[in-house]
Amino acid sequence: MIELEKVFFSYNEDFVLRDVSLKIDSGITLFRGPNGSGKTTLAKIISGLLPPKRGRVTVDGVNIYQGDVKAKNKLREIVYVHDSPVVLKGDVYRNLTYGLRIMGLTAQDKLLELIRSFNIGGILRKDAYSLSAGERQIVSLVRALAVDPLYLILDEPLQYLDDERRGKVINYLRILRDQGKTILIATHERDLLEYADKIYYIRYGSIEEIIV
Amino acid sequence: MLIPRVRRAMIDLYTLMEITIRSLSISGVATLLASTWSVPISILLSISRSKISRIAVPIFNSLVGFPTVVVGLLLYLLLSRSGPLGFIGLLYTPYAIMIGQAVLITPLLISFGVEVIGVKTRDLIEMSLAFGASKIQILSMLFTEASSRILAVCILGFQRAIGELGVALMLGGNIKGLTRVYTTAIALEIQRGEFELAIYLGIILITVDFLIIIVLRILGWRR
Repeated sequence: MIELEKVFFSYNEDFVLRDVSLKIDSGITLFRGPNGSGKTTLAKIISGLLPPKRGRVTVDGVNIYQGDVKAKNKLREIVYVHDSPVVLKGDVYRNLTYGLRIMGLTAQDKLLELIRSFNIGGILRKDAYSLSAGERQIVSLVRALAVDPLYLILDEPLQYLDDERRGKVINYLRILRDQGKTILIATHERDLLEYADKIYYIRYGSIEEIIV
Repeated sequence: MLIPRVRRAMIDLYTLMEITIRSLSISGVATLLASTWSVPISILLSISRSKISRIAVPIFNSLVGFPTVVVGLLLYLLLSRSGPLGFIGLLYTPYAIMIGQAVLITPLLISFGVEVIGVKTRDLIEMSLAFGASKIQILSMLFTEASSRILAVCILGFQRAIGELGVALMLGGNIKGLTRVYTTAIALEIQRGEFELAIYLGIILITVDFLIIIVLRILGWRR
C-alpha cells in the first residue's frame, strides 16, 4: 500500500502540492485534474523521484525517502513511466532491455511475452530515434513492464497511442490489476475512467474529490 | 636559377609539413586536456539544479568570448621566470601553448557542453532513476547518449584552439622548429613579405577547418 501523509511540495517558492494525504491500494488508481494541478508532481513523488518538502511517503510501511537499504529495495519495486516517452540511442531491443540491465535481471520470457502482446516484434532492430511518438510510448511502457514492477506509475500513458494500441495497453493494465499489482495513472483520458478502482481529482495542488 | 628555386620549394614543403604536424598535435593535446575536465563539468552542470550551476553556466557562457591575448598575458605572468610557476620552465615550449589553448577553450567546451548534454537530460535521468540506476550507471548512460554531441563540441574546441594566435604567440614565442604553429607562422610570413607561404598555410588551415566540419556532419551533429 502507498500512503502519503500531509505532503507538501514546491519547485520554487509557491507550493504546487499542499497537505496531500492519500492511500493507494492495489488495483488501478487515477489522478485526474486540469493542467498544472500537480498530477505529475504527485506521481513523481510517489515514484521516489522528487522528495517532498514536508510530509511522509511510505510504501508498505517503508519511508521511500529515508535513504537506507530498505528504502532502496522498496524503490526497486516501483517504476515510473514519463509522460514524454524517452528513448535511448540504439535499437528498440536495446531500449527494451535497459531496465533489465540496470536492475541486473534477465527476464527474457517476460520480455518476449510483452513484445508479442504489444505486437512490436517488427520494430526490434529499428533505430529508436526514428520511432513515432506512439511507438516511443509503447517502447517506454514495455521497458517498464519488462522488470515486472509491483507498483507501476504511469504519466499520460495513452496520449500518443492509436485506438488499437490504446486497447492493448488498457487490456494489459487490467491483467496487471487482476494479478494484484498497483497501477497509478496520472491522466486526462476518459478511456481509463471505467477501469479505475479509485479516482483522485486534484486541483490547485490539493485532493478535491475521491471517487471509489 | 632552377636549382635554388627547387631547393627553396623543398624547404617550404618541409616547413609546411613540420608546422602542420606541430599545430595539429599541440591543438589536439590541448583539446584532449581541456575535455578531461570540461566534459565532466558539463555533465554535472547540466544535471544539477543547484544555485552553483545557475551561477556557473552564465559565467562560462560569458568567458567564451574572453580575448585570447588576455588569456595569454595571464598565463605568461604565471609561467614567466619571475612568475609563480616559472620554476617549471614551460614558457616558450609547446607545452605552454597546449596549456594556454586548453585554458582558452575550456569555457567554450563547458558552455556548449551544457547546451548539448542538457537536451532531454532530466528526462533520461528520471527514466534511469525509475529503474533504480546508480550514479555511475547514470553518468555512463549520459556519456553514451551524448557521446556524438560531446565529440562535436570537442571538435569545435579544437577548431578554436588551432585558429587562435594570441596564446600561441605569447606563450610559444614562435620559435622556428619548436613552437611555430599555423597562426604564428602566417603572422610572421606576412610581416616578412613572404605571402606565398602565408597563403599556403592559410589554405591548409582552412582545409583542416572544412575537414573538421565534414567530420561533424558525419558524426550527426544535428542529432
